[in-house]
Amino acid sequence: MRDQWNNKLGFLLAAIGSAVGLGNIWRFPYIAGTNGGGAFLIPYFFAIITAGIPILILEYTIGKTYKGGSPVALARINRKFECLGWIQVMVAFVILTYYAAIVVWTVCYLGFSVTQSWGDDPSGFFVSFLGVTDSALHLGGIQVRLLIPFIVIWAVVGVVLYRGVSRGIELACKICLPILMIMMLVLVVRGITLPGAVDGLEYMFKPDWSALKHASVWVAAYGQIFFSLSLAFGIMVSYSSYLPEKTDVVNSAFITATANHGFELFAAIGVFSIVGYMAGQQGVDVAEVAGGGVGLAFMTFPTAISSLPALNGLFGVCFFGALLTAGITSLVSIMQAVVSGVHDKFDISHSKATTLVYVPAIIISLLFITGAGLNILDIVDAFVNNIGIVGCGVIEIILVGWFFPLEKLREEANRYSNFSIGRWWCYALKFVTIIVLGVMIVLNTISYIRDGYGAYVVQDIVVFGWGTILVIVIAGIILNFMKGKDGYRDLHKISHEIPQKEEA
Amino acid sequence: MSIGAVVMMVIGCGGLWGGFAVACAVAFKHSRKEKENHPKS
Repeated sequence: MRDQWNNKLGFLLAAIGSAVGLGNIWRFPYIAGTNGGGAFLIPYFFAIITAGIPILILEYTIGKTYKGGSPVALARINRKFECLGWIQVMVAFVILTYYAAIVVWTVCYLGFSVTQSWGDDPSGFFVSFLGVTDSALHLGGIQVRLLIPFIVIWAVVGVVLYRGVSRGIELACKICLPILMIMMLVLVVRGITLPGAVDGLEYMFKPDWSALKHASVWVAAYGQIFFSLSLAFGIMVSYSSYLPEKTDVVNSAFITATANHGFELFAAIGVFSIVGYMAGQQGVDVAEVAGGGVGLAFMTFPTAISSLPALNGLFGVCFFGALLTAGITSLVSIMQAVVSGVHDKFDISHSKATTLVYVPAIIISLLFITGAGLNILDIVDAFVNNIGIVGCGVIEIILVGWFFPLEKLREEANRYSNFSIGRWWCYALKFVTIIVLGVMIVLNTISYIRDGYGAYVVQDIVVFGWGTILVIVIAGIILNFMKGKDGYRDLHKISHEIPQKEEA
Repeated sequence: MSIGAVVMMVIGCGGLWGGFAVACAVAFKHSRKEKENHPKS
């Protein structure tokens, strides 16, 4: 029997918890700062309206109407679409394996931040702590010091997932999100009261209107919206499939999107205030110390934490605690996307489906706590995001937008919604989103074929970049052709299994 | 901090958190109306 959210608030908290992840804290500020500063907000808002919210409404409607994880929901739209659903699930599975490793590092740094164990050279400390090898193909063995936090994180994820959607994920998000908000509030308040914070905020928000003439800035804005909202790899379809029928999806999409993007802008104020302070302490320009991703969290921020005048430990705990809570809620959502895909197609219980995903995920995840973990993660993350997710997104919208009556989905979306969406929604999806995502996938593919990625050698990129994409596609095709439970593509045959709870 | 940077920061935060507040208010109003129309559900 399929689980169901206890109420709409539970669903919204879970969806916001999924969308608010590590990228909100370490990706957005850098992307905005290097793509026109304050002027970046123009394409950013435009992308929220024309892509973020429309795709979110689309995925919520697909999930709620067709009551299944991505493969089954897409198969119920058209049985030929199921393969795409499995590729999305496989993308989620790969992300699950390396995302867990980042959360493991975060747990370690949460402990280190109390005494600032990284000393005077946080960058060197990070590299030696992970035992980073010189190549992605040179594994260097599992880093034993990471094993205990690794077990703890997977145990937490296991407890949440085995308890199910309403008793596990919903409860976890109800606990984690308020903690995340409080920690972020402490960070922002402390950040903006530091000397030099203004320089960081100036770097982040000073509008460079000439940047709007560059197509790359617009593509960066769409990319940020797309990755930030956890779109196109099955999470939102999976989460919304546990909604009662008479639930609004249009306003839920607006709430999720505005909360997620509001949070990332809020976090950016905290992050760049601190970066501004650090630049002032070192007597360098903000642009020199500004960065994003793993480097910002595990190298730049520890430096900033150590240079604070007081309460360094508390500040460090707040920063890594915020990363940890944001990471956990996203991690469980990624795993749930895979579990629901398996559970809805095959004739097995929720626990069995969870075990089928959980055990292989742990084994593969071990790869990312080896000495080569950081390098492998960097390559896999780049390819899975820029080729895998963007590819899934553009194919999903082409299939549903052009080979299925989108108007029918618009009617479904409007049926129980607080307010209706007009035809603009169809046009935004069928034209604007497809064009922008299409440009993104073409540019990314050309760039990776022509220039490779980062400073990695060709073998590393072929094995962990293109190799991962190939494995995802092959696994997706195999899962598509595996025999599922009787009538799983027929919505009416399983509808009796869905408990009718009262709507909140 | 330049006026341009302050204006863009206010527009960004106001737009997103304002949008969030309006969407929550609409949801709350709708849910209250539903409860009044169907007190037992």
